[in-house]
Amino acid sequence: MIQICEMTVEGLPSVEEIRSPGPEVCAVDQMRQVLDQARRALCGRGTLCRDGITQLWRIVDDIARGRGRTGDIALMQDLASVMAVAGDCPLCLTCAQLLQASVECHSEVWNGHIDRRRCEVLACRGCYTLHVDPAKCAGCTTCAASCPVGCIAGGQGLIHVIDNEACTRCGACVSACPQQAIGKAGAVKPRGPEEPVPVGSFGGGTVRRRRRGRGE
Amino acid sequence: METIKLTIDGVAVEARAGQSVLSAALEAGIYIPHLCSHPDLTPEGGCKLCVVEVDGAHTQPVTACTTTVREGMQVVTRSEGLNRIRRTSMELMLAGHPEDCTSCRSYLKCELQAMMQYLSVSHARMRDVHRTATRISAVNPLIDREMERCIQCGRCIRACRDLRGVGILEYKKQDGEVYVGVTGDLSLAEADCRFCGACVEVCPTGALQDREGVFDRSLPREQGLIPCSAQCPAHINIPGYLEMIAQGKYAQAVAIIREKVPFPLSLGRVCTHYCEGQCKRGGLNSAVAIRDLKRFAVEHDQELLWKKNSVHLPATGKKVAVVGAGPCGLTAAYYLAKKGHAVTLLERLPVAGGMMTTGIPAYRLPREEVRQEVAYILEAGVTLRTGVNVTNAAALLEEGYDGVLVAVGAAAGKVIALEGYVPQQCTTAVELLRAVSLGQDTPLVGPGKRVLVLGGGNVAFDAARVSARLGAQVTVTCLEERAHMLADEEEIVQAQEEGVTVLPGHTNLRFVQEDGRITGLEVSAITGFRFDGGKLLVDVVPGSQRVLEADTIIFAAGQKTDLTEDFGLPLNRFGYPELQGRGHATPVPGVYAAGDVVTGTKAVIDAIQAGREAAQELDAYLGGDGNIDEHLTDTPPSDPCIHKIPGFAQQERAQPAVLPAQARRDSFAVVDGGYTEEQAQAEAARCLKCPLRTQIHTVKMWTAYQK
Ligand code: SF4
Ligand code: SF4
Ligand code: SF4
Ligand code: SF4
Repeated sequence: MIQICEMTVEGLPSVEEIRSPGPEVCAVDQMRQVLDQARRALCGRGTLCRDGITQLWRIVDDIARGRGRTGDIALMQDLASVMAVAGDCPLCLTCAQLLQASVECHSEVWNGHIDRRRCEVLACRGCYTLHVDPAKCAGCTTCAASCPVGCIAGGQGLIHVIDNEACTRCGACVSACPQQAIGKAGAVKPRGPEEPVPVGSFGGGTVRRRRRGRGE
Repeated sequence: METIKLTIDGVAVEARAGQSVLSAALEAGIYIPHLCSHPDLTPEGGCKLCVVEVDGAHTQPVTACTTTVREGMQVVTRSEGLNRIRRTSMELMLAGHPEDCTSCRSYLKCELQAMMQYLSVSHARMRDVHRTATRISAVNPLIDREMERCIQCGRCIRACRDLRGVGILEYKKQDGEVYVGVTGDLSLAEADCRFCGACVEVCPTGALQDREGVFDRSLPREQGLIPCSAQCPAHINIPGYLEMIAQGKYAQAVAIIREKVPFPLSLGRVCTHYCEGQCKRGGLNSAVAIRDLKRFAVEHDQELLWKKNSVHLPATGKKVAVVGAGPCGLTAAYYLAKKGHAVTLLERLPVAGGMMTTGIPAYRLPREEVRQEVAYILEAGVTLRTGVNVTNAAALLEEGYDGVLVAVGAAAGKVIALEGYVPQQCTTAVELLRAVSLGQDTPLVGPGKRVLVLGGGNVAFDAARVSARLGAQVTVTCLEERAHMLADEEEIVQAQEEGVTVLPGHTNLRFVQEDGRITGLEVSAITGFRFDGGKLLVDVVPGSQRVLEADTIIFAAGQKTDLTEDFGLPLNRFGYPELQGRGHATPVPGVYAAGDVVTGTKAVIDAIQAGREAAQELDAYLGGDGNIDEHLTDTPPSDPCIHKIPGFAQQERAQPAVLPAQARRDSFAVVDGGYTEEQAQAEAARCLKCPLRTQIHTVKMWTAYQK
């Protein structure tokens, strides 16, 4: 490390916490949060720190959004190794080490995200869809009003339907719904109407369906 | 100074104690790539391009810019590992940088671009980073900030903070995005930027640029970066004397001016101030009042320091005749006398000064002031003989002169003989101005006379304002529309205030006669005009003819020389003496010609510079070294640390006190009352100190190194 700055960040996970993140924590999502925190904290004077952390964050964010590319892991490892040797500050070094530990210990998780857009715990935006449970929806329109991109169809007394092509997975509707009717789904999608239908007019149950690509 | 011996890539190198490895290597001709480092700035070590290995490859690399040389140090600048660091760092910088170079104003002059080539790095591997914060505070006067090209090397931040002590640039953050911005995200002017350009000078990319047109890029850097001095025909050190005025050192200021011109006071009154037209401050709000400050300095110089430091060389035994005692002849005579030649100045009129005493009216240029400046010239050993009409310049050589300079000016006014022209009722502006200056009668201009001045330049307004003072009722008419009139704006405005009617955008058709006398001039409004092979073509507004009543017509349509072949010099087809090459020598050996007589009517400062050049050439011809430059004062170098001044960018140009119009009209009293001391110092301090930028070194790119 060729230190030019003292920057450290409180509250970043330890290498141990990266190696065993515990249940319900996705390694990719964890790393994304680490890097986002770091990029918001860094002072900006050194290239490897400023642009290195930003670059790692861009790549991990892409992976979490289902836009990972073959070769991303190798690129990140390469970048991290340079940052570890010539980085500017403790923060930069820490990010490099945490990233290296994460991709070493959780290579299946990382590759699953990149190759199959698969996030076991449904933490990464690119790996799940959001659905209104037709059995719980009260047709109150709260979710539609809360959606910043306006991708929820419905109306008073109708079962609401989310357009997952347009949805950004911001989660606003999930917390807005008074019935807790909105939930995530991975490869297994719940059954629901294609279009809004009156509340009570749709039968329950789930159906196995092939996920549609979003073509990005 | 202690010498440190070290080896860089196996080459033995000597360095100074305390020097950085980077600078030692560069001085030894060994190139180490670097971007955030700059010869004049504190090293930061941020870009990591200058990484080297010290004392064995097993150790951690270090940045050469922040590592000090040690005795016996072994430095390796090239290895696979170092290359990997450099290339990665470069790729990261490029990730946030536009790919297209050709649309950038720095194209082919850019350090970043050169570095891309040196490291053969492209955009390919990394994710593009699109920043949105780059548009913050991008629009400013004088400096274009295209921050999407910024690689955040921090050079500008360090230049503004460390070199200038201003410190308004900083690393900033918005939504986790780093950008290089202005304190408080203000505009540069609001943040009290001094517009010194240091940030632009050190920026290695196209992110910071001088606004197009601020500097003349065709000039060498050292000249082009100081637009006022570059524009001044005599290249007076303008920022140098402004700084002295700001510090209250008026004698030093005058000495600096006098290093280039012997008429500081006259110029301070009437110079056409080409300098102000290009003054960089003009792009911020308004140009520094360079001319008026010159006058202020001379009027407040108690010590005459310039005189004490002025050098007079021993007599050379050579005799020179200078024909014509206008600004050109007087200037040349002065410098030739100081070079040790015996100079005789021959003047046709009873007074010396040329247009300064017999053209420009006394209310603009008091005669006493010119006389004082001429007296200094005579003190230098020049013999003045007035009332001498030289009829043949070449013949002077036979009278024993070793060299002759013809500087007789362009004293003959041009007359346009329109239909109905009656010579007895017409005169020219130069004739009127000369007569009034010499105290002669002016039967054509006086109380009750209706005077029509034809022309729109400064001479036309001199004639108009003089006529008004003589009691006449005056109208000025010219072809140019109001916005494009040639006279200085203040001349036009002041003339109008004095009761002169101005009728721009008209063409003259014919004189109207009654009983053989001119009673008026028929004119017509025009929408435009142009010259086609010297012939005037006008676009007349149909039906706009009208008659301007007049008793007297004054032509102010320019001047020409009145030389004939009898003068002993070959003339060109326009009647001007022929010159050889680019200098002032005529085909007659030993005879030179300069000033208005070869250029036609130009400004006083042009005549002075022509006089300087002719003096240099004549001195060389007479066996001297041709060097007339003087060193009249020692001033400490300007302090580059200029600090912030609250409200600096908003400071408006100081306005001198001007006599009220009625008082002006009734007398030949001086119109412009000049500045108070407080005004003058504040005005001088508005200067942006353009020369400071030339102290900053330009970075040599890798192509300039052998290894
Ligand atoms: S004071 Fe000078 S260096 Fe600082 S921002 Fe202004 S022009 Fe740039
Ligand atoms: S504006 Fe230029 S000098 Fe300033 S940080 Fe950006 S690239 Fe460097
Ligand atoms: S700043 Fe340099 S590298 Fe960037 S676009 Fe301009 S010329 Fe190209
Ligand atoms: S700001 Fe000062 S140095 Fe720059 S052009 Fe104007 S007078 Fe000259």
